[in-house]
Amino acid sequence: MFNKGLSFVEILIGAFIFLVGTIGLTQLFSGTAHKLNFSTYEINCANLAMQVIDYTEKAVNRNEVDLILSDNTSLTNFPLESLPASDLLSMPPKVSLKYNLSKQQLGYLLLLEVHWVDKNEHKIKYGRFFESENL
Amino acid sequence: MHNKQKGFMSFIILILGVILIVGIALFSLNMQSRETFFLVHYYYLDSAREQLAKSIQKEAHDWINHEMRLGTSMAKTKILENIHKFEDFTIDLEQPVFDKSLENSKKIAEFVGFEFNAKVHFKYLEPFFGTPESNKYDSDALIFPHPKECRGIFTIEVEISKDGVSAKAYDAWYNFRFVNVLPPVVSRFSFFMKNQTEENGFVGKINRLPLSNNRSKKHNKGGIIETERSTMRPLIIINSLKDFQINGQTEKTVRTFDPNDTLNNIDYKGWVFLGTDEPKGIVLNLASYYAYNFETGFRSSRVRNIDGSGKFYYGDYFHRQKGQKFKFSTSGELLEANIAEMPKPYDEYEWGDGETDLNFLMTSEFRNYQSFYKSITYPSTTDSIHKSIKRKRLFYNYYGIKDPSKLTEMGFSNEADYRSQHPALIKPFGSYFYTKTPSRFFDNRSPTLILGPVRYSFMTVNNLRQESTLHKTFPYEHLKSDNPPAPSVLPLPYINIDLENDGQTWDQFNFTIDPDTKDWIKTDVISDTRLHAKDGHKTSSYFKSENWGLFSDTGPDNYLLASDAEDTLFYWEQMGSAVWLDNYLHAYNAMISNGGSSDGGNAANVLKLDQIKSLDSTDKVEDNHQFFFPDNLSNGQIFNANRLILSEFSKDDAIHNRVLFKGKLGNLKLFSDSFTFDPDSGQMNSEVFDLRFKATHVTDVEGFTQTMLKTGMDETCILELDGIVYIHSTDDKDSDDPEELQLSSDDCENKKLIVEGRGMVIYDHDILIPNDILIRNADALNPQRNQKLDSDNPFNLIDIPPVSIVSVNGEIKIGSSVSEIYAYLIALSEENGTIGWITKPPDHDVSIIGGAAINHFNLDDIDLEEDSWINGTFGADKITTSKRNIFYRNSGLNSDGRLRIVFNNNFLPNVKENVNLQFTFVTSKGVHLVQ
Repeated sequence: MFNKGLSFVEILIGAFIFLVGTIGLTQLFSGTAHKLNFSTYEINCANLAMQVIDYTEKAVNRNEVDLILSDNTSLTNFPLESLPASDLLSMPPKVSLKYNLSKQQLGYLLLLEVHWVDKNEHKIKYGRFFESENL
Repeated sequence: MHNKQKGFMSFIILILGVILIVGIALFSLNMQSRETFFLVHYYYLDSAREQLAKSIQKEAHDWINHEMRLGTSMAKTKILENIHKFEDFTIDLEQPVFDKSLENSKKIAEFVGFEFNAKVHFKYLEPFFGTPESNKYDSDALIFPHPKECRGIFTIEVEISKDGVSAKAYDAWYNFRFVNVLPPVVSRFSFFMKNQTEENGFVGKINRLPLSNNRSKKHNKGGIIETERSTMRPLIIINSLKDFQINGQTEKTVRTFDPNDTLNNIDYKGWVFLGTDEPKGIVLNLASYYAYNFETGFRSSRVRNIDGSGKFYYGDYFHRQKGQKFKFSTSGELLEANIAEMPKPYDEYEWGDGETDLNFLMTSEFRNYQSFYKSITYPSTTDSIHKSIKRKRLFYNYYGIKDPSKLTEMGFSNEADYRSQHPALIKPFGSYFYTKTPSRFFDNRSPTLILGPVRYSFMTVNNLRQESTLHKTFPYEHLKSDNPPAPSVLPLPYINIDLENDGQTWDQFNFTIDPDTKDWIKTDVISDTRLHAKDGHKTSSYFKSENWGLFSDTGPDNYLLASDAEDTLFYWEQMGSAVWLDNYLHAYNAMISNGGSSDGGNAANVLKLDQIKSLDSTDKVEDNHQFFFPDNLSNGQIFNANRLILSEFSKDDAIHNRVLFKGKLGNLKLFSDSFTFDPDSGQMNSEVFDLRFKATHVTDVEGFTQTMLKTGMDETCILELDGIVYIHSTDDKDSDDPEELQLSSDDCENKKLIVEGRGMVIYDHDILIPNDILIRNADALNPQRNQKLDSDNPFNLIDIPPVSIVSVNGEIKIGSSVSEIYAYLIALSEENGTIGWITKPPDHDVSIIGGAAINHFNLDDIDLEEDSWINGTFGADKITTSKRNIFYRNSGLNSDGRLRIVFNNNFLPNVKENVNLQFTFVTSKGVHLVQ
């Protein structure tokens, strides 16, 4: 017997299911990708921040901190080139560093904010107090 | 089922299956990414939190450290109050007084979006050695540690949360030591020499030149020792930075003690006389009367005459018993004898109401009754001096010089004589001002310990003066030659020494000074009305009308001694000298402290004899004189300077009195033989006090050289010192050739060592100081010396941070290029504790600006050659020693170097305010735990 094939309704139902499934899977995939991307950026930025904190501490210990001292209390772009061993820092794309480093009675106060942009703007914040024997 | 339907269903199932499988896979992937997302975010939060925790711990630690090093701090006071209960306690850093400890951390927390809570736990708190402030002591040489000194740990506990959840705790712990970097007790003295034992020649007749005949070589029966041309380097002890004047020196007459010319005077009057009958003894002779200098290696300069005294030299004046007058003022600089400039009072202090003040002006006169006169060039002159047949005979037998010109050829003065070889007298530098008004109390007396026993009859106090109201204006403001104050005098006309009987005391007689002839004459002490002098006899309208006397039954309102027979006898037999000696030895402090008000309504400063206790025990002594004169008076009455109470006083707190030391200084030990140290665990043990317990840093020789000595930017050699560094040696105390500690390294070779900070370096064995030791940022010496420039406050001293170099079992050796050492040198080991040169002395002067405490001088290699014939011309005793001996001086025209010990007043451990400045709080970080 001759098979007349799927009816229009059947094809419509099948296409709908396929469409819904594809969209769902795409969204699922997209969310996953975003999470992975965000995590990658966040961990890179966190590592970058830790490196910057570490190098800033070295600068404090070596009494070479004057170059990166902030003039006021606002956050500004970090002059990474003034840090010791700054050439070892790897700055991910679309990432910027803002900071404020102020001299205190017994040391230095560093406030650090790392920005990056994907679909949205993201930032992570760190703060650190460094003791200084020279103050 | 219909085929068509079957196909459709299969198709749908296939799609659903694919979607399901892909969905499950993607879901799994999503879950994994979500997990990663949270983990990464957690990593960020955790790292940010850890940074905050580190910030809190560092900031809190630094803040506590900073506060604990401040002179005054409410937080410090509160912490110390709790620490000294020696029980665990906790401080919430949010509470008042401590809330500023986390200012920056709070900013961070707000920035990052965290909340936190921080506390400090103090644990395992304990003093260093036993219980502080004990009133009982088992030995007569116990050091009372400062009650503030202690150790323990503190932990900084931090709890951090975000949005009130996800709390996490961090804990950091620190060892801490709160120590004083001043060496205990010994640094009270500009020069402290401990060993006064018989074995070292410091007993009995040390200050007596034997009157032997050189030819007979019967040294124990007499003799004269050649010192003029000996190769001995003068040892000069300068007891205050103030006396250390370098610039602006002008040549003055001797014996004026003009402070402006002090150094010049000291340099040429001060030298060390070596030699006794053993010859083991040593006499510190700081009274050579400018009779000569050492510019050519011999004394050569002309002996100066006293203006208007005819042929008398100053030496004559002294040796011929005309009296050598020093005035020792408690109230100011005097015209005749400016021993040291009296510290000027702070302009704003209260002078008291006048009626209640008792300020003493002490005038001391030194006489030496064992003196004799002998001139090389004019031996016959001795005949006119000594009436005693015995002495005439002694001098007659002495070999006389036939050709005086030979002397000048040899570099001697043609007036050279032996008068300067006089037994030891120690110059009293510094001033002592006693008053009940604490702000006026100032103790700037010479902290020099008398070396060996001193015959007390050598020195007498000839009067005590009550300070007049005029003194309330300080003398430098009103004391003019045309209007000198003449306060009432309480004479102490005391002497009972039999001059012709080998210095024995007379049993029946006492002597006093004839006010006209200045000779000593017999006196009837009972009827000597001068003892009853009081202000009714005043000769000046400047003086207080209040009666004042020495004894209570003389009728005054104030008096020093009770009137009973015992006290009177004590006065006659001992006090006349004792007052002076004690003054000199700072035991006068103890006497005053021991006094205080008593039952009889005595004045506040009464010396209450029955309260004086022997330091051998806690019981009072049978005879009060034993306190100061423990030996049999009939056997060469000596004062051995052994028994002492050193008290801490406060300039600000009149009632403050803390016993710093009780006991025999001769038995003093800073280190214990029972001390053990395990370098692996850091464990220290000792049965008794040991200074090493206080160590804030421990290392070994290699560690010290490689890590503590650094080369600075300016190519200097730097030692960062903050606290007490103990450098451990694995060599035993009895090791034949223990490793030396050199305060230098390969990188520091031939460079001055710059100390940054303050503290002590303690090493087990010999310490070599090859180059100068200077202190970074120390105040420069200035014309006011111990007073800060631009300051009117005499207590505001220039700041030369205290640095001590301490050898436990060894010797301290100084290099031949050294010229300045800014440190207190301590080597008190019984076997090796001395100072010497590494190879040989430099030709130039060496100044130790700080002080020195040693066990003994190295006298073993000092030889006394009797009857040494010089160029076949005359014979004398000659002293030689090895090049490593501290007294050795190089030969040659430029070898006139002297060894100066200049006391840094900042080392004084018995001025409370001074001590407070030298406390330091040192921490070492423990393990950082993340829970």
